[in-house]
Amino acid sequence: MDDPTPRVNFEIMQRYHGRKVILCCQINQVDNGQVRVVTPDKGEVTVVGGTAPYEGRFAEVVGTVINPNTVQEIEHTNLSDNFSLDMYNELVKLSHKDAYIGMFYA
Amino acid sequence: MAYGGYGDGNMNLGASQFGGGGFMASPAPGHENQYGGGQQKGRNQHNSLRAFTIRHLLKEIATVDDEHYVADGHDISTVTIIGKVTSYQEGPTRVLLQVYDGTGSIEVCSWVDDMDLQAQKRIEWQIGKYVRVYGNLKTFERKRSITAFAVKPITDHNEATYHFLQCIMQYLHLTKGAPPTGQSGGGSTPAVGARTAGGQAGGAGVGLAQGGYGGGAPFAAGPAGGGDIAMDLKHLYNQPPAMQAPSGLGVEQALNELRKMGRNYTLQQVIQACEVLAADGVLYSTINDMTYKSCA
Repeated sequence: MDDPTPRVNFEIMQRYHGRKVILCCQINQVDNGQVRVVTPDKGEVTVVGGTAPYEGRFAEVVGTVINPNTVQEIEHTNLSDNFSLDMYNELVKLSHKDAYIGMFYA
Repeated sequence: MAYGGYGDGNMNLGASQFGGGGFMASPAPGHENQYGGGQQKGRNQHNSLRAFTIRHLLKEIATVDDEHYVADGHDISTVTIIGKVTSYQEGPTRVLLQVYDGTGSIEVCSWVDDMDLQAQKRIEWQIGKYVRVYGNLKTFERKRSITAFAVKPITDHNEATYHFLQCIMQYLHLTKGAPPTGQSGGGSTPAVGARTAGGQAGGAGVGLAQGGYGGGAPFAAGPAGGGDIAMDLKHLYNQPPAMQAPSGLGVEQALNELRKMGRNYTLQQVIQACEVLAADGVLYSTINDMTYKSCA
């Protein structure tokens, strides 16, 4: 649990194919173990394999990117209903910039 | 809240801390070192509170001596982190947590004497929940940990976003100088609502695009809240661009830079102040009587 897990949006997620990522997202629809979500940069992703219930509008999903549109969930945390996905998107982009990536993932 | 309140030990808990000061241990750049320079040995007399990502905390901090830590060239006293509780261990007088924020994991030790309080903590600090930790860095057998004096559960997860943005902001502030005041979004008040916070993050981006922090010879803002032209000029002439220019800075250029920092002086005031500084031996004139360079 010591290794960094990058926070991603839809665009950045594509660089982490097969790897564990943190995706904060807005929940669109929950269908029997599959959850359709909207990423911070307005992309659409399906989260599969979750067992715990999704409550509220937003969630932070920790999972593995199995294809450009799908994340296999390891665990998730429900976020507060006033969560700002736009501001979080800015954070995600900043944290991947060369100047700051050393503070986060590198 | 302006960027002026440095070194006053102001510990503003919660998301409104974002725009505030209190994370600089030493006086702001441009001010005289009122401690007379030199190392402060023994007890750390500076009080500062700084936000860190756990990775930064573990990687970038140099241990000066047993209890003394330095990050990005500045002493640190109190630190704050935000992360998810990944393990929880109760002892007779303390609780040991492992906190992970997506960048790294660190042990947090919280001394809890009261058994009832411990029971309450068991509920608040559940595994998988986000918490904010305030405490001091400790090293034991080469392993870093935090001795916490406050651990609070996070209810508004925007606080986590703010915290990481604050880590970046403080890192930039301490390595590259204060953001230019007088720019929209650059020095705005602490953001609590989502929209203003988005503006602030966007504002930081605007600042970057305008060469605020890039390699394009930025002039860092002078000491906040001062009307002291001599102080401002001293600060200005000690900036890298003025130091590196072969003939220094002309008075008109200085006037423009001061205006950009939000200081409205007249040309006459700048000329007079430069002459006084030259007489004091702080500046010297170079190619003509209107161009000066710092003696430092």
